Amino acid sequence: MIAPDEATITRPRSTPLAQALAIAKRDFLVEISYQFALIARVFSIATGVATYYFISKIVDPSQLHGYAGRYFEFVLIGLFLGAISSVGLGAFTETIHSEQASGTLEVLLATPTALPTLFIGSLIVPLGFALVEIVFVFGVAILVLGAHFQASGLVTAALAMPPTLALFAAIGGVSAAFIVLSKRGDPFTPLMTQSTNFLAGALFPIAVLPGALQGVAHLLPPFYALQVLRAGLINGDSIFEVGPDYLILVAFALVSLPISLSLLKRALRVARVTGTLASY
Amino acid sequence: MSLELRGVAKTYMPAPWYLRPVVRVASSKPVDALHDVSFSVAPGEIVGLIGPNGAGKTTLLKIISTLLEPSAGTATIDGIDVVESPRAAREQLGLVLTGDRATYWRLSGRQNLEFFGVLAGLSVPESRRRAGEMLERLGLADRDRRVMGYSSGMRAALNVARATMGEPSLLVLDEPTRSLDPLASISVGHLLREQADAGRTVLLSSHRMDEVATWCDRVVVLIDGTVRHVGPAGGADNDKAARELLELLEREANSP
Repeated sequence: MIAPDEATITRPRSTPLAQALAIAKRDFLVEISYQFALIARVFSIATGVATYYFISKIVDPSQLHGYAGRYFEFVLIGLFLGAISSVGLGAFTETIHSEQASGTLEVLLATPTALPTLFIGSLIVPLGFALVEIVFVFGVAILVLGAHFQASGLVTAALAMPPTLALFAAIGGVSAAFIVLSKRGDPFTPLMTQSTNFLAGALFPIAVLPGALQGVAHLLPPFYALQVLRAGLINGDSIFEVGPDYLILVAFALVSLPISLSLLKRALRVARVTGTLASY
Repeated sequence: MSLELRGVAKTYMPAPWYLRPVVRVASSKPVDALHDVSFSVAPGEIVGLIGPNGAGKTTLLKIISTLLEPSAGTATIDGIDVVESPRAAREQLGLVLTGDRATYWRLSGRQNLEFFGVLAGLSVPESRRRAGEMLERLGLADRDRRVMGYSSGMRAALNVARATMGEPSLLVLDEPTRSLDPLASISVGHLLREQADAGRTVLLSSHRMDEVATWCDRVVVLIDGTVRHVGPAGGADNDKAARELLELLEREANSP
């Protein structure tokens, strides 16, 4: 099959980008092999949007004076953040979980692929699907249901995406570290999802919360992501007008990502010492 | 030497106290799995690791593969320490673990090989070329369906091919023929011999005396985590060597 001298020839090597894209290609091929899951997802998104559209009909616009009084647009941005957060929080955890279940985790970790490459590669396809989902939802909302957004705020929203995704991916990395050790029962993803929905103002403005809880909202990074996205897409604010909120968001992301990767490396190390890497 | 083990020991320790509510291990007390394991394997050589269940074979192979950290001793692949430089060591390593779920069953054989080739360090075109070459060699090129449709023998062969995609200098296999019929086992044996003839170092664990005696140049007998015998696997005198190994294993099993 391979001549001895051929094995010693230096061959072109893959780059981390090529490896991340190979992971994305694998994820895409696996994802589209579950066609009913895709159909169920489209149905779930469509009914979710319709539900919030009808809820918006009964919401008093005066409760939303900072957001042009439009609940449907307000909540769509909350759903937008929800889609991004589920990618960041869940993608790598899901990868670890499914590799453990399919028995491929050990052979994957025995390749020379760097952990950050595995981490980033596992985000690509879920992020792609989330973006398609967002375009679909906003397309239907604008073209069919009459939602209105400020085109001038698109740049602000686009700039908010990288730190938002990085922030949730960092928390997702902590979840993955937990899954590496405990195999099940990650508490971080539900905690983050619920606190985003309830305290950070994804589904309703935090102004309706009691004063103490409003204070807690300001400690949560997703609150700042929502502020920036809404200021841009509903009010048409530029990135400079939301500067403080944006900087806080970026700071949260910059601090949390290295901490997350470090925790994940430590979790893998503990699993390598205790011999629990592949147990499931 | 391509693979060098010096005084490798492994004791499975319980998790640190602050992680015990989260990390569940088999025993709350330290479990000794390997003691002072030392041997080496040269390029082009196939060495069989044989021993009863629980002897520590898989533990040793996982240490070599950077999936487990040894408690003491060193393991080097082409002079690279697997603990000090795990990524560099993995570049020299191809791993086949026991069982046939080491590929993605919803992908085709070709897609699996191309994926693992890139992760092993090959460029995309090179990985594609090599995957085609491998499938051709395995007789799977015209049956490029999802792995879930493969027979056990085809999956075992695909696993060996997957492990060799990155053209590693060391191939580590943990019972690659478990649950295979004799013909499929022979096919895997031929594949391993080709790899050794191409200059690769091959270390495989097995329960089967016959295949170790037939395929391997040397044999290492591991019992209770300790190396009890290192010697020729048989060569032209397969039956005699196999009989001697069997006697050794029986003696150890019956010893108080």
